[in-house]
Amino acid sequence: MRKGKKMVTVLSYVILAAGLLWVSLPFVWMVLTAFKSAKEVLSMPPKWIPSVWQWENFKMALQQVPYARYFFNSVFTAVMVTVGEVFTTVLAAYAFAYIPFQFKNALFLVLVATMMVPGEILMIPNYITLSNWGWIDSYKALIIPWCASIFSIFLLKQQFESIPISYYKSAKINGCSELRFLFTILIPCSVPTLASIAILKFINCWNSYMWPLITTNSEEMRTLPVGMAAFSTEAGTRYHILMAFSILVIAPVIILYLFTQKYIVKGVSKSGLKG
Amino acid sequence: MKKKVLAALLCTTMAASMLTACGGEKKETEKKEETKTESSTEKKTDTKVTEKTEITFWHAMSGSNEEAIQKITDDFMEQNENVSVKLVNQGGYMDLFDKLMASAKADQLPTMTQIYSNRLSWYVSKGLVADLTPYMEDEQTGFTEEDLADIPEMFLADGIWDGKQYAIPFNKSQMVLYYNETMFEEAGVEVPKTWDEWTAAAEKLTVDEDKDGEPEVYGCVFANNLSTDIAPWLKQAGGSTMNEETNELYFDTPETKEAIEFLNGMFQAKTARFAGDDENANVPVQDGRAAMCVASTSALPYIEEGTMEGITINAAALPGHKTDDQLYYGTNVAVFDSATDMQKQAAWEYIKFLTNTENTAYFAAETGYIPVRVSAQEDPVFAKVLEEKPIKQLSLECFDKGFQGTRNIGGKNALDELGKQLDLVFSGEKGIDEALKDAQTNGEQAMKEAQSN
Repeated sequence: MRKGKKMVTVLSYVILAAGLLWVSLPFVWMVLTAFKSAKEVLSMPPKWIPSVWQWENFKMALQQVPYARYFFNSVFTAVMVTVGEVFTTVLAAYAFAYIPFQFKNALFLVLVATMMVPGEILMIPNYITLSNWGWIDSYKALIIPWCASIFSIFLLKQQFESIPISYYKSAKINGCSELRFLFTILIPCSVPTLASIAILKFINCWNSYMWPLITTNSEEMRTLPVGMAAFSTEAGTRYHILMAFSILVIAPVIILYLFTQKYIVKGVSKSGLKG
Repeated sequence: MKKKVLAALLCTTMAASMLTACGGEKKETEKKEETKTESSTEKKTDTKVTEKTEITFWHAMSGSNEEAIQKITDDFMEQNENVSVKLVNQGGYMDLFDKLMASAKADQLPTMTQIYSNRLSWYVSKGLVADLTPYMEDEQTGFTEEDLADIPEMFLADGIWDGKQYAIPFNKSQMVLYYNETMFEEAGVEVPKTWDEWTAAAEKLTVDEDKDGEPEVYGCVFANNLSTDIAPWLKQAGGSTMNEETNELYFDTPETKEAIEFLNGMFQAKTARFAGDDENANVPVQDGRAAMCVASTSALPYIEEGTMEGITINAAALPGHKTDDQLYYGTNVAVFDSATDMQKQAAWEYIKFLTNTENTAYFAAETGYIPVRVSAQEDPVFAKVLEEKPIKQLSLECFDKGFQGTRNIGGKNALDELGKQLDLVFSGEKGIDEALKDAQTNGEQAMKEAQSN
């Protein structure tokens, strides 16, 4: 019995190790490529370890793109968008879940239907709207249009509705206001869902390429993914420099995650309801 | 009641933010009506930039290309204190064209842009592009007879619609045959000059040691978007892709069939393949997995930088057949009609500076592009580059055989339909006759749809 248990443990570790290797392979390739010369990147058969570690690749990457400015813009817009979206999502999901009003279901259906429209189709009309408002090349264009998401509202509404209505009723009997009920009872009970919404939004915003490119014109307003385009042209890509820049792009996020890991895990695993 | 007001407020805010996308439609329709009438400047009013003027130039140049434009632009601004040129990199070509389209719809076009002629056609047809002819003909600031004679005719013609010059050539390149010199020498093969020689060379240089049907070394590699640039083979077979005047497509013709049969012969014999995951056709030649490839001269800096030790790559003109036509591509620069007269004058002077002998030579020396003036060969900087990189000389020698692609609105969409059918032919799933017939029908449909937008 004990031997069998040990076997299962060993097998689990082998499978997990294989999985880890599989998912980390592109990451390892990125790190090693960042230190290779242009000739080594494309060599066949592939050469994994660079013969001479090319630290100049990082220098060249930083020379081509104003990293500090782009990094600030990426962090600022991603944080603001995440905060903005969580805020609007909480309010809208609460209204749809708890407050009865006329045409509530119809309005919700209309909003959910907008999820069916592909984002690419909205790109030009959205650009025209922002352009008419004079928002092009400003933080407003980068942040405000993304501060609401029907998908997140839908997700949080479902979460709010899964909390027994008796909580709401007893809170009301005790004289609790709508907003107090929302902030002191509902939100603490929905931390895992809110954390998912925030993480997904942050990642989406951090990776966003087309929207920041379309809505900005000056270097002062651009974000890191736009900067990455500088290393590719229609004639070719400088992979070694692109990978060096990619490391610079993801390193801060990884470092941030390492330091905040325990809070994120704690937040996500904190359960709201008890029997 | 309080609850209802709160709910209504919250939801209205949400709905408003979701539906902002629908705004601006009316204005766009009005604008379309306005732009249907020709609005290009017939007579220019300013012959000198007399006050501080800012012009915005959207481009898709990055890396060393961008550095070269920046240097030329800085030089221009130093000599022309009244003009401030704001260079805006808009990502890759496709990003730039998407953004231009969005800006055209929002009436927010920049002063000038880098653009392919087959894309500019739409803007010209809507009256959005400034006619540069009066600027070119201006006695004080225009082109001289020598200037005009110095720019290859095919480049100038690429920017002319209805006798008016709407665009000036800027960054040009040529489609060439790159080859691994070492492999050719070892196999005792001559660089092909005709289609037959090309087929034979590809066959001789293909290596399939383990005989598994997947060669380790392919004779030739073609770009993934072969259909977009299929024109040289059609022309060399005596045909063409389409008629620019009548929009008639020539996909289902004996000449096209002959060209496709030639290319398909190499694909079916597995002596040629597409770039596939290598993305650029020159990549497998650089690391010895192919002996030849068809690619642009703009790939030259990447080839110089990333070719494996022991491999020497050279380039030759595309092998000919009934004719020896050579394809040149690349963008032009155009000025939009929404610019003020002063901005147009400033933009013209900047374009003239950007493309003068010294600067086109400098740009060609620093990048993979070729100069847009014949006199660049005499420029000391470029002359030195020609000595060091003889491949660059090739493009200058082929000017007289050169042509540029057609510029029909929707022409690219039609060629994409041809590409879909050719993929089926080259993968052996469809016969050439049937594929070309379908390409003709689908291409006509795609072109019509694009033209109605």
